[in-house]
Amino acid sequence: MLPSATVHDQVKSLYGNHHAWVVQILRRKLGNHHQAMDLAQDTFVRLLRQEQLPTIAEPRAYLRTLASRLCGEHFRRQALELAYVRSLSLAPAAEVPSEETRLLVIEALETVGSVLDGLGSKVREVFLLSQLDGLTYPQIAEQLGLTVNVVQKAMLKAYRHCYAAVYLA
Amino acid sequence: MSLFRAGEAGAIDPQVLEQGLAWMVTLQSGVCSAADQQACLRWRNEHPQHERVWQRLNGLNRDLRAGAGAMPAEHVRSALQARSLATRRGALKALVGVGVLACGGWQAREHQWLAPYTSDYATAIGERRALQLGSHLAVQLDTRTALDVAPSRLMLDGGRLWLSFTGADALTVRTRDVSIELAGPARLVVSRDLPEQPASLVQVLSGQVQVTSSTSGAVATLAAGQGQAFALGGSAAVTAVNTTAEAWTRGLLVAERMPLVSVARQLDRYRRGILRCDSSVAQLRVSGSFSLDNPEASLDLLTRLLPVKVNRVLGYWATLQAA
Repeated sequence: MLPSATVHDQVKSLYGNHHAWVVQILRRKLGNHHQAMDLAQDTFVRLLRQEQLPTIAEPRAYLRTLASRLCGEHFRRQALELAYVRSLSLAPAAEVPSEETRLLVIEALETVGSVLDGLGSKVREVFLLSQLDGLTYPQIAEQLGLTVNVVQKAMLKAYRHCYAAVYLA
Repeated sequence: MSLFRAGEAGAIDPQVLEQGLAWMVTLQSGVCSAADQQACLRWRNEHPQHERVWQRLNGLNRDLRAGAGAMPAEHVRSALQARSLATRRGALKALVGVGVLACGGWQAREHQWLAPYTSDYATAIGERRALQLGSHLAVQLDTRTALDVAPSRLMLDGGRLWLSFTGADALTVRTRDVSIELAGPARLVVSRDLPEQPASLVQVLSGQVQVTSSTSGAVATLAAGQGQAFALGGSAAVTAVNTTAEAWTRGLLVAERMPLVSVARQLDRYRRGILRCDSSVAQLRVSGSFSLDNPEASLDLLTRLLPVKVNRVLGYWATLQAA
């Protein structure tokens, strides 16, 4: 998939005029120059992937929003990786997976996490108890001190949300 | 693994979606009756759209379990929770929020993947860094390397380290698998968790060192030109050190009839994203010097040396394939 010529030119000019500035704001957020360089790169790559860019009246505001979003993604992913590493550190050494497996697992968890993004914490907990732990609705209700009816409504909400995240995005 | 792909297109009536959701919630309750199951089946057979929405919802279940199935549920939960708590304050603070560092931090410190966040010195992907640690010790960190530094002690958490020691006193360099004692001037390369090698590898370029396996406790002396690998199971036989062992410190990968897949695995460590090698070309032999500082140029060079092409997806995922 190659970016179209016009997007390419637009991004090239954005890059030329604002790349150093994007690195600077990312560096303030991340406190690390290399990561800032990496994420700045990602920011422009993200733009290149678009089929066409909107008319950008305020390039820096636009880039700041995009860079902030990537920063959030970066932090979420880092938190996920750390939590995963922690669970690995509790596993017997013989079961430590290969780097490729780790990468795939984190990728998968990240995807699951992003689909669940935006769910309230209670709805999410109900959904995970059902889907991950395989608890029945009465069991979930008992564990969380809810009625079965509330659990059912939470499940409906969670499924509706996931469906929208995957199929209506 | 591709999870949560929207799959085939096709509009679904919002009302049908609501019915499908209601059926899914009913059938997932864990306490639904055989009559409910029959009724759901009848609903699915009523209209192709019903079946389609059902398959989509089922796909969500399947992908969620596939995505989360690699770990015990409580770990998935805490990983997802840590993820959702991470804000612009940063990941570490979010983890403190769920009490992870408080209870498991010291164990995790042993683990390589955490190393970049906790070590004294850590290099990013594609970065090489030279450091002068005191007047007698110069080190160079390869890409993705994490090093802890204490007085007269270095701990390599992962990656590759070159060091030149010119002092006369004692210096200890450790990895999880081996402890290396220097009693005088020496130059060596120590690596841990690199592709295609046992857990830790010690290569002595000049001087001599004493190595002690962390698992077996076996002690040996390595002289210039000798190398030894160490893993959880103990130590391997002493081998000769290749003259190209230091090439990476100059940003070079020197290949001599090296399988393409091995070249790819090396370059992969210096490159953001993922580099893979198709099995049909994996065993092609290649000789030459490749830049580690510019892995993209090295990939392009490979396409000129061998009948292969690079298939890049979004610049980050690259696969070497038959041309």
